[in-house]
Amino acid sequence: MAKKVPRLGILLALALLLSYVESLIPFFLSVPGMKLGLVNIIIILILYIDCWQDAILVSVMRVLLAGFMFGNVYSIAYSLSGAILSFFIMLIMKNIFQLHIVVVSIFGGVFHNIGQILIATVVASNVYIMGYLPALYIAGMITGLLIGILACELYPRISKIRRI
Amino acid sequence: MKYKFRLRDYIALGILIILGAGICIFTIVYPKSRGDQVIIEVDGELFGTYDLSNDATIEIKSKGKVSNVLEIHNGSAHMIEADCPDKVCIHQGEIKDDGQVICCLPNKVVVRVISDSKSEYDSISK
Repeated sequence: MAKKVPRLGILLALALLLSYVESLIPFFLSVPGMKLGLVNIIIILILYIDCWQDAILVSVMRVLLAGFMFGNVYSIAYSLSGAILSFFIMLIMKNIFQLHIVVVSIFGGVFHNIGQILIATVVASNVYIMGYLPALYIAGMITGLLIGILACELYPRISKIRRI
Repeated sequence: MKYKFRLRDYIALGILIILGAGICIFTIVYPKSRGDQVIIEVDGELFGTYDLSNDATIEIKSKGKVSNVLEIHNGSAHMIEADCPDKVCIHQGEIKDDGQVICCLPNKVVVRVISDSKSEYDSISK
């Protein structure tokens, strides 16, 4: 426990830094809510190296802190729904179906966007926002693939972090 | 970490790609017709309906202040001003086909195009 808290603190700080970097990179401005999802690298690695409880803790804390610093109430609502949906989909894909880390990441990317668009539809109370779904779906697959390849390369290199 | 994909990975990816392709095809094939009017909704409530055939500049007010400005020009509508920091709605460009939308999530403003035949149906379903 004494070692776990500082380690998760460092990973949370890293996740916050990545969400700041991400907010600086404009990526397909024409569709709202489209992002690279760099933070997902951290979440996937915690999911694989530690346990899922730690991963969701860091994920939710990251969304809340980043929302207070760079966003507003609505961006917290969108990110939180996306983060939670994508997290549980990734957990199911990893633990129940035992898929490859890259495939888990692609599912995470796609369902992050689906979660966001569902909440956006509810918040704006307008079904027509669903028209952005195809673009967000494809973007989620591409970013998920990139993040997955990165996570796959990083995992063997930093899995020693557990023993620090 | 093993680099090799197993059969179940290919199956899962296949399902995801087929689902995505289905959604895309549905959106592309879904009949598009030229719209006649734009409906502006603020926070889920009707703000106003405007004809696309008349050029106009519309100031959209939400919470008592002008939050967005919509311009109708040559039969298409686009957002020219927004008070939110990200300006996503301005980058969404012009809309003119039935069912197309511009949305500004921070201000909860949704602008969508309808055609005359559909507007009647919409008012009944509401």
